[in-house]
Amino acid sequence: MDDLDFQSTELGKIQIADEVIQVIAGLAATEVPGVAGMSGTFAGGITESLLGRKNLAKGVRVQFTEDKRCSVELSVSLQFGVNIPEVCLAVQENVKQAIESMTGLAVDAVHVHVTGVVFQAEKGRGDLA
Amino acid sequence: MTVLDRLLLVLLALAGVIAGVGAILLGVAATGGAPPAWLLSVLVPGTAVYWWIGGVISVLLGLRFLAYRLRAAEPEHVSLSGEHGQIRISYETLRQLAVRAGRGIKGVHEFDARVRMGQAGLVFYTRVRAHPDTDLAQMSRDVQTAVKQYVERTAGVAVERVIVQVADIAGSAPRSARAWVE
Repeated sequence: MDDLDFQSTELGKIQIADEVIQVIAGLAATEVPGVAGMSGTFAGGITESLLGRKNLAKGVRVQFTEDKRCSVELSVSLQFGVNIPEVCLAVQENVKQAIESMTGLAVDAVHVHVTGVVFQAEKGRGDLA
Repeated sequence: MTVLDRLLLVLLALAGVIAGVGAILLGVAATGGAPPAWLLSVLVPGTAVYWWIGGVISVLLGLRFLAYRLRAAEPEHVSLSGEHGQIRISYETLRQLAVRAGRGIKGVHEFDARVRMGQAGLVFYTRVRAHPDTDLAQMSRDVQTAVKQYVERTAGVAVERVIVQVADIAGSAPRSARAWVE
């Protein structure tokens, strides 16, 4: 995807790469209590294991709609025992607020896809790995 | 898609590549070039059988993924509308919640569940392996109540029915066939 032409000044253009929005959205989503992590693709998971580097844009898709507007799609796994709709609403709010305040883009929609729940023991194993 | 499915898909892709290369070489042979040695070896009785087996396996794998695609056309999630967009909860998440709720019931030794969409909400098909000397009717009612209440409370989606199948008693030899009531 092409980078978003954010602003043009007399000194030059300002572009924001879609990966920047993905990272902001991913970090904003994972800091919400109840979110266990982002869910990426199988290929993304292998790449992450091979490179040994955490992919902060994992599970986030950004679509630029009109001028300085975008919509975000997130795939998340939640901790066991939380109220799913409540956590998802908090994720939507936090992601929207983070993107809008950090980039000035207007967020039309934040679609949240819950792909699974993580139990405490699994989370512990994941942290150790 | 499970890990096994992904491995099978890689096998199918490899078979496709081999078939493609074979087709190109056949085309080259048909337009006057010399047929490659391996192509001639296929025609030798005794080796052709391996190509037959490979072909049958490829067709079966292809049919499996064709069926998978057709089945995947139905949404495998429940959608709720949030303030700033859609919230989708995958069937796998709902299954995990049901399994967790079901396993906590007294008398349940093993528990598994499947999720489908019904007319007025979700329908859970559950399969229980019970402990011996358990009141099965009471345990089944408890499973139904626990799954319905827990899923509705945590996921915020209506549960229409919870169908319980007591498939086995722990301690007896497990049956190899997995039966489900649908």
